[in-house]
Amino acid sequence: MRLTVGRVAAALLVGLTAGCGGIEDGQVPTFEVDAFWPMPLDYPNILGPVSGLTVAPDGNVLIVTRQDGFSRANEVNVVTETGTCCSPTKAVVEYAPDGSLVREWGEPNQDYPWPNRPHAIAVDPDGNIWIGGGVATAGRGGRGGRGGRGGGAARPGPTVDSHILKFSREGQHLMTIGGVGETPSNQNANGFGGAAGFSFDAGANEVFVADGYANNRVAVLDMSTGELKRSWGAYGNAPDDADQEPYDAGAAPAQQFRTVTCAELSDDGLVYVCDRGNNRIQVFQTDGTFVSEAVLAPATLGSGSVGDIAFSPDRDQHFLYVADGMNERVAILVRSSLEFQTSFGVGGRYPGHFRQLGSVAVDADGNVYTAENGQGRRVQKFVNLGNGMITAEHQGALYPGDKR
Amino acid sequence: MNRNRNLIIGGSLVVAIALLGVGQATLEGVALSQTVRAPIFEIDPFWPKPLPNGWVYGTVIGVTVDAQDHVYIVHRGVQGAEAGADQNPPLAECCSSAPPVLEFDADGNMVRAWGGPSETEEYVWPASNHGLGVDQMGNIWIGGNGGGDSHVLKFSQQGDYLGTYGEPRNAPNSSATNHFGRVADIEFDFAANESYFADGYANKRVAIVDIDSGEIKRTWGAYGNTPDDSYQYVGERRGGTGWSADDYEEQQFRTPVHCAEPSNDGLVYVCDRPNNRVQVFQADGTYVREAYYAPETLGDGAIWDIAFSPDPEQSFIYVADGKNARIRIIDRQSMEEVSTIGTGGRYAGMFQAVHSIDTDSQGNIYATETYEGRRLHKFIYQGIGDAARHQGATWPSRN
Repeated sequence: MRLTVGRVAAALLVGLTAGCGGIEDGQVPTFEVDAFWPMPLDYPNILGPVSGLTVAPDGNVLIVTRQDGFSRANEVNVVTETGTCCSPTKAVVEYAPDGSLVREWGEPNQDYPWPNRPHAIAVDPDGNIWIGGGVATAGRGGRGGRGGRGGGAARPGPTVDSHILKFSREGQHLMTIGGVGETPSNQNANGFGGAAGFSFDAGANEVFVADGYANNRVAVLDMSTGELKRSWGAYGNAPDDADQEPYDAGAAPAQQFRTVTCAELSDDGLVYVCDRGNNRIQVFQTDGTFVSEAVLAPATLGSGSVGDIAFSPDRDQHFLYVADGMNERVAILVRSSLEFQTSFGVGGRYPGHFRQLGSVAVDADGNVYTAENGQGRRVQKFVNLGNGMITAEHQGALYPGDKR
Repeated sequence: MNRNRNLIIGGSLVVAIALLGVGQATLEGVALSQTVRAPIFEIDPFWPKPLPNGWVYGTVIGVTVDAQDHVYIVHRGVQGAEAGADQNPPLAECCSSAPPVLEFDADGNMVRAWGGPSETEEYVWPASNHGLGVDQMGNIWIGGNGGGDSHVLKFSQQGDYLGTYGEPRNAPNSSATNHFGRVADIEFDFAANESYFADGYANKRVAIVDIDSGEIKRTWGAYGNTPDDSYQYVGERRGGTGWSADDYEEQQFRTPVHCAEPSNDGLVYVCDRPNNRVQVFQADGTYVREAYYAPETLGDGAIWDIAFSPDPEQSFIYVADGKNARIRIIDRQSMEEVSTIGTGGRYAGMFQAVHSIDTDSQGNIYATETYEGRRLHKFIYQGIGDAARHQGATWPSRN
């Protein structure tokens, strides 16, 4: 429930607080879902599982989608020549702030090694696009209905994407970082284990790689050469390749990351790491010195509660948004204390609902974007209505006020 | 919708004008960008309201609207990680599978939730529930398309068990008089006290059942032929491209027979889903006519469910085409397609496998999705107007 803070008053408040570096105690950003963003793609095009999301400095929204998740029996009927709908878009889709399609590009069988399972997309300080990968389980694809078969044809080659791709904004291949088809290892200086997130330090010319789905480290690369400069594991420990016991909320804190799905650099020089499978955020200095941690929804099993992180756009980056895909909601934390404030979203397939929420991003106006992987397959926009007092621990679906 | 057989002569001026416009605009060769006169709709993305209790929908494989414009759906629930809160131990706080039958009021509030296997074995819940109808008493009838689903269940509006039509757990047999073969949908002719079963996923017939006694009064197959389970289809459905159902005039329905809808004027419209055609009959099974839509559609086929517009003449038929991700708007008299609504996708007004459809007294359309769509949509009727040949996602203007 959103309490009574009008748009105008809230906007003033945001402006004031941004200037003096503080947010009134207890206030959090409030939102409503925009059910009509982005604009529909032309028939018969549809999005696949959305496995990466970012907002470019110019405010355009970029996603990367997987093309291995479609049901051939009843979804990509143009491909199978059984009907007139539907057909997958290319893997990378760029939207303007108004939700109109700017361009789409990226697919297998080009002159670059497209990942088996592309994951994560980011724009570096030069305006170039970085794309990572994930772990593809052999033979898996989208579920159909009765008798539905998996999506893409069986592909030879590695099941873990060990490389990173760099493109121009328009989709021209610029660079491949890391060997293709490497066996994942935290000791490998020339390959990654499903690079699942990127952030950039323009001053140091470094990129922080969430590495990843198969590895359990943060890898710091030279942004120009792609050379591995340093890496670290949980608490700043040396990352190791040892097998891990299943997550147990009652056990002592794991001394290694489980699944590293984000590594986000804040403006004040801290790196926020999503240790997804351990349901925790760990914070580091850029040299890997451990600073603090917070556990979110510690009873969560499955793939875990901390999938992706984004910062609010105020000068202090006062708030932290966490995409919690198992509980299907976006958690709002105060960045300095890592204290949970409230959440929004609920499981389902309607606007403001989530199915396999994987990614979160924020634009310069404080609007929040989310991306759903698996069978969710949407990028959604939540319009920032200004700060207000929220009493609900979990706000649920943020329908417009008169629709709640 | 409640349906009766009162034949009302004459039509409103608006409809008459609309039909004239339709006649002009659907001539062959008219550019797709040209507008047509057609019913116009707008998706309501915030209907129904979010479910309570962390509930989520599974495949929504039936919808019906009662005389009070309450909307009922039947769905199949969710399992595994999607039902994370239902696991032991729970994987997460999300999500829980909603009960199979959900009732909504016109505002989108969920007012009842019930259904599922009988704890006392009083009745046999379908192995795979499929389709529902509401009779003039407000009772809910539920079919099934799983193994052994040779019966139809009847419940009160509150979900109390009332009776079983047909003996459960029989093998399919289009000649059987004591059971059915995976009934896909149920509709009614209240004046004749008859229920129309689309029978179904295993049988190849329409079965007309006395509402009170449960007796099968008559059945028929395609073109009014005697249903024949041994029929060899002429057309090869999966042999490559270029297959067109209307080249063959298959003499039997091709399972599933997915709907059987009586109109006000004594006709019955049958969804012969994978044959991509609607066949029209008199109530005694006399064949009247047929029409094919997207005849080259393979796989699941193009004709999934039918609803009539609620004007006295039932001027329009709305056809859910799950394979091509559209609702087809058909002029009922000419059987010509006038316009379509919907497109492929996961956003409001878009479809992944639109499956079931009904209308309310105001002309609004309710449509559900199976497979991975898993929603109940409401399209708000805006009246007859200038429409695009394909209306797409029917979003409101953003001005």
